[in-house]
Amino acid sequence: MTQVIERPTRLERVKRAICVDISDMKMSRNSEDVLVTYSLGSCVGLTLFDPVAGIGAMIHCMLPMSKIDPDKARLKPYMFVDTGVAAMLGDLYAAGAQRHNLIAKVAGAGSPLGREQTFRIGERNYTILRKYLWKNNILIAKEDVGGTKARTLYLNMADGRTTVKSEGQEVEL
Amino acid sequence: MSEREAILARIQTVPSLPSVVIKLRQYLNEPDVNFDALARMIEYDPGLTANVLQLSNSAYFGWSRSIRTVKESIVRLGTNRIFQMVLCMSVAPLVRKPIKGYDMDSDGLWRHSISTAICAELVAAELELTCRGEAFTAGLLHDMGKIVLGTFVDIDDEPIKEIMRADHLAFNEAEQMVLGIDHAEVAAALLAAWNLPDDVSEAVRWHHQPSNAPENRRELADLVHVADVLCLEFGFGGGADGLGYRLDKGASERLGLGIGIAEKVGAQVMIAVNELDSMFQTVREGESNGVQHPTR
Repeated sequence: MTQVIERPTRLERVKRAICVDISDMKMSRNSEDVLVTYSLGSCVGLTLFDPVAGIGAMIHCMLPMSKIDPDKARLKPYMFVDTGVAAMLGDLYAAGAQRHNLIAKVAGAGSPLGREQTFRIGERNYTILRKYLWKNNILIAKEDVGGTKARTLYLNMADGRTTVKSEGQEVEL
Repeated sequence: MSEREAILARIQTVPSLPSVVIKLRQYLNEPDVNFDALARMIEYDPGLTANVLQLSNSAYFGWSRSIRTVKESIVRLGTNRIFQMVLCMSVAPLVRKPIKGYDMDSDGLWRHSISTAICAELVAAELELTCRGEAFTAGLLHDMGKIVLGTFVDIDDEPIKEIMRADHLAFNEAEQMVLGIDHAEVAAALLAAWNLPDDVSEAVRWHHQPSNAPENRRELADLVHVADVLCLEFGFGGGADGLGYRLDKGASERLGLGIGIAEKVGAQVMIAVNELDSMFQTVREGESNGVQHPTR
């Protein structure tokens, strides 16, 4: 028998979508919401979902470390992986999420063709993110990182399903 | 007619730049600019006047004190800044629409164009480059070729993607293989048709391979290359081509651009792009951007 997977249609998704801009973070505990972020190039997108508390969040960070511009970090903490993920975890715990329940998924950290130190921003974003999560005892459950694709990341709050869309194809993480 | 010739012929159907842009450009090269005459030229058009004043009071283009007249704006900000504002208003209607082939929504090319302009200007200022004066203009116009090439890319979407996968080519290299021309060369031909100076069109022509640019134009080509790559990396208005472009290894080395400055500038671009974009949203809501495009 064919299993019917209930997933929002494109139209439903647009109606309930909560957009996470570049250098932004959104948290939700509403099962009707779909958090979405577009244009992940070298930036990293992280979703954290606590299925027990029904709380989830998504962040879109541009740069690895806030020390390059502490003033901007105060103005836009989610721009940087270090200040952004710290604030995200703080908000999730304050809302009742538990660290040991959190499911972490990562997308982005792409790079152009050819390797050059100046443009290894994606690689640095990913390294710092992984290190920060590891220090906080959170393992990355699934990821879609690297390469030349630009990605769109979705977190469906109904069940924590995370999908990545790139080059017209949407796949589950 | 080959596909390349058909594409070059299509350039002739793009509207000319408004005459006020060309006149302003001529004024930039004159040592003794008559500010009154320049102000009158802008004030002749009430829509353009309103938009110039609004942009003159924006944080990015603006001055710390409030600017009330066009002449004050010219004196305070300089003729080059006024030219850049009018140029932004002139290209906005051409790029603020979905771009076929590159799968960009109505804001994609616009955001990528203004962010590359801002990024090029900030990098040029940080590194004190001699081509600083043209940084914004060249950055703003570097992808104008996509408005012409988009419909051709759309038709040949599959072969382009297939050849990229099979031969590990960059998007522009695949355009060249399949269509006989890439969006950078199309942009340069369009800018030449618009009578913009050679240093800008040559930098745009070589923005994916600045090492191939003539030596006297290379600094601006290097600058546009790094600004374009950084803005694609940061996701400022990318399309289906994603990050599918090849780094020209010489560019950042010749400019002296390290990762520290690249990241610092990225943070500044993000703030400035949002500010300019919201400023232009207001301009758009006014229906007319104050610039009339003559048709060819």
